[in-house]
Amino acid sequence: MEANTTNNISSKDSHEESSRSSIVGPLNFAKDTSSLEPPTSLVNERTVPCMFCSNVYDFHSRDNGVDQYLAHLYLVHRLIVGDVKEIACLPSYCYYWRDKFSSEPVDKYCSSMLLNQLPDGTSSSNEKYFLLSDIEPLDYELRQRLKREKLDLVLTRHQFERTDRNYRRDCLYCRDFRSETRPEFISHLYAKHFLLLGKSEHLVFVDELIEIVQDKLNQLICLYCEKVFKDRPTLKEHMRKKGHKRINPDNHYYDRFFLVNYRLKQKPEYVPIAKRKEESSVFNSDDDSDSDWSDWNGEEQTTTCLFCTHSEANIDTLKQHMVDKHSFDFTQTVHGMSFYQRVKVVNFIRRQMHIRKCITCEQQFTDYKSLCEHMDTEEHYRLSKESNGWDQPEYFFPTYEDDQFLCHLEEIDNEEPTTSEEDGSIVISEDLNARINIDAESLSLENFSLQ
Amino acid sequence: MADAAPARGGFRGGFGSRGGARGAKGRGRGRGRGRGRGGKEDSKEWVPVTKLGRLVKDGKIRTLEEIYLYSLPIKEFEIIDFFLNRQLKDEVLKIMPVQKQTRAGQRTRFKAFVAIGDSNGHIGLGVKCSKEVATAIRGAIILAKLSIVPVRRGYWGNKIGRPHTVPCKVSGKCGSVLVRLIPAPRGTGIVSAPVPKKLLQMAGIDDCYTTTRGSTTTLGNFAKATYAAIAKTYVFLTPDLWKDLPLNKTPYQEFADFLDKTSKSGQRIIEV
Repeated sequence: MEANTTNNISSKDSHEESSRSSIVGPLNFAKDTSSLEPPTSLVNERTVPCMFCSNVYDFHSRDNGVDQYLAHLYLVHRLIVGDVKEIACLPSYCYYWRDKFSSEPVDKYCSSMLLNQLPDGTSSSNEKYFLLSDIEPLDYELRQRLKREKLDLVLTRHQFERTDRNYRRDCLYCRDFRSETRPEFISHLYAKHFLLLGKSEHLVFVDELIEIVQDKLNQLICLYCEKVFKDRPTLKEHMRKKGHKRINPDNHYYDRFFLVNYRLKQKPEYVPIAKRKEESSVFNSDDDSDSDWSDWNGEEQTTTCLFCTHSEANIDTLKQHMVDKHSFDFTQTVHGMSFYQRVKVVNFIRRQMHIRKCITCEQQFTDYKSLCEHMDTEEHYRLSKESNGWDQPEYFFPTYEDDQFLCHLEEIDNEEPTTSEEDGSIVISEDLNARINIDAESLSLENFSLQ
Repeated sequence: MADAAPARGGFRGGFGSRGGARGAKGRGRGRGRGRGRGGKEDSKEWVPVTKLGRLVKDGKIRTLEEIYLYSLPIKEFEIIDFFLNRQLKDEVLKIMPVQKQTRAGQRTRFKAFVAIGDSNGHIGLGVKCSKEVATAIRGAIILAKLSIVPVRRGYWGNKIGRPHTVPCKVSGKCGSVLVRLIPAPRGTGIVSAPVPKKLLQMAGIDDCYTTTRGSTTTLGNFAKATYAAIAKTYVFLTPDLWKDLPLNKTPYQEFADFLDKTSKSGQRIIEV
C-alpha cells in the first residue's frame, strides 16, 4: 500500500500522541497511472512490418508509407487488399493478418485471380494474384470490430475534448484570446473571426485540425481552394471575399475530424422528405432503446484487502480471502455493531496498518514485514475487545479516499429507512421553504374533483 | 464594401450582416459541418403551452418549490430554465453507440446519458438516442431538466452552517441495483463509487456514506438507483414536518349543516 505523504512516528506511547504525529491528509490506493488524455489512435507503434517479409513501413511518414506498403504488397507478394480506404485502422489490420499468414497459407483466406500480366505491367499469361477482402468471414468480422473500436475511441476522445480545461492555445488571428476548452476556442474562431470549422459538438481531434489550419495559413495556402498566395494580407482578403473561410465539404482530407464519418456505414435508406426533419429533431423518440438505461456497462470497482494489497471485485470473495490468508473474519467481528461502528472499525484498521501498528496490542513496528510477522505469530489479526481504541470520532472519516470497502458494510433489505437515532447521533433535516401559492393550488385542485 | 473592412482594423467582418443570407445558403449542405448558426434557434421567445407554463411566465409562481409542493407535473423544460437557468450545470456521463440491424445493414445511433444539477438541492437525469451526437446530447439535457427533483438535506449533530448530508437513511432501487444513502458527519466527503459520487455532488450533498448491492457494473441502473434514493429524501415524513399548515375546510365540514339536514333522524354521521 502506498501513500503520498510521509509519516514521522515519534513515540510509541499513548494512542493520542501517535495519532497527532501521524499523517492527517487522506491517502490513496496505488492505481496504475493511466494517462489522463485518451489516445488519438488505436495503435501506438509507428512502423508496421509487412505481412509476409521483414520490410517495415512507417505509416506516419511524410512520403506516404501507406501507398508504398500497398505497392510493395502488389509488386512483390501479388496481394491486393479490397476496400483499403474503408479499413478503420490499417496497422491493426496488418498485424492481425501477419499473425495469420505466418502459420497458414495465403490461399486459405484470399480469393485468387488469374491475370495476364506481371506486376510491373509486362504481359504474361495466367499469373496468380490474391485478393484479401471481406468476403472472407474472418476479414469481415475483423473490419467490423476495428470500426467499433475506432468509434469507441473517437467517442471517448470527443467526450474528453468537450470538457477538458487544459487546452492552451493562442488564437490564430488575434493576440488577446486564450481559451481553456476546445469548444470555446472553436466558437471564438467563428464568433470573432468568422472562420467556420464546424460546430464543436461535431468535431473530434480538434488539436490536429487546428495545427493543420495553422500550417495552411502559415504557408499562405487558402483553406478552401488550396491556392497559394504571395503574402498574408492577400490571403486574408481572398478568403474573406470568396467566402473561403471554411472547410471544403468535398475535400476528404478533413473527413477524419468530423464525428459523423465514423458511423458504421450502411447503404443509405430512402427517407421521405416529410420525415427527414423529424428524424433529426430533438424530440424524436424511438421507444424501446431510447429510454433504456440498462445497456450502459462499466468496469467493476475493486476493493482492497484491509491487511495486504490483494484486491478483488466481489466483496464476498475478498472477505473469504481475509479469512484464508489472515484468519480475520470480518462478518464475525462486526456482528451486532451499528453501521457507524463498522465504519470506524474499517478506518481504524486501515489507519493502524498504514502507520505499522498492531491492531490488537498497539505495538509499533518499523516496516510492513515485521508487522505482518508479529500479527501472524501472535494471532493478532483480531480486534481488541475494548472499544475505546477504535470507537473514536476521528474514524468517521475515511482513511483512504474512494475506499470501496466502506460501501459494503451493511446487508440491505428492502426495509423502510429509519432516522438514525441508534447510537446517539442525531440528524436534523433542513427547513422547508415553500409557501402557499393560490394559483398553483387551484391548478392542482383541478385534477382532483369530488364526485 | 471592401474599404469598410480595413477601416475596422483587421480581419473582421465578411460574414456578419452582408454575408448572412449568402452564408446560410452556402453552408446548408447536409453533412453536419456547421449549419449556419444564425442564432435563430436560441433566442426564440418562449410561448407556454401548458397552464402551469402560463402561470410561471406571468410570475405567479415564485419558486420551483411551490410547484413541487402541489405535485404539479412539469411538461415544459422552459419552466425549469426560468427558475434555475444560471445555476444548472449539466454533465454528459456517457455517449455510447447503439446498433440496430436493419435490412440495409447496421444502423448506428448515439445514446447520451446526461445528469443535471445545481449543486444546491436539485438533480435530474436524462437519456436520449439519436443519429447525431449533438442532437442526442441536447435531447438528453431537455429530458434531464424535466426530471429534476428537489433534494432534502440535513445536518449531522448540530445545526450550524449549511445542511450538508442526507436527512435520514434512504434507499433507491433500479433493476438489480440497490443504493442506500446514509448520513455522515461534516468533512467525511462522499464515500461511494465514481458514478453516484458525481450525482451526489451535483445534488449538493457534501457528506454521505453509501452501501450498494446488485450488479453495479450496469452503470445505467446504478445512476438511476442513486437518483431514486436522492429523490426519496423529500418523500419521508420526519417529525419536524409535523407542523400544521393552514388548510381549507374539507367539503364535509363546509356542508355539514346540509348533510345534517338530509340524514335520517336519529342517525349520526361519522366524519371521516
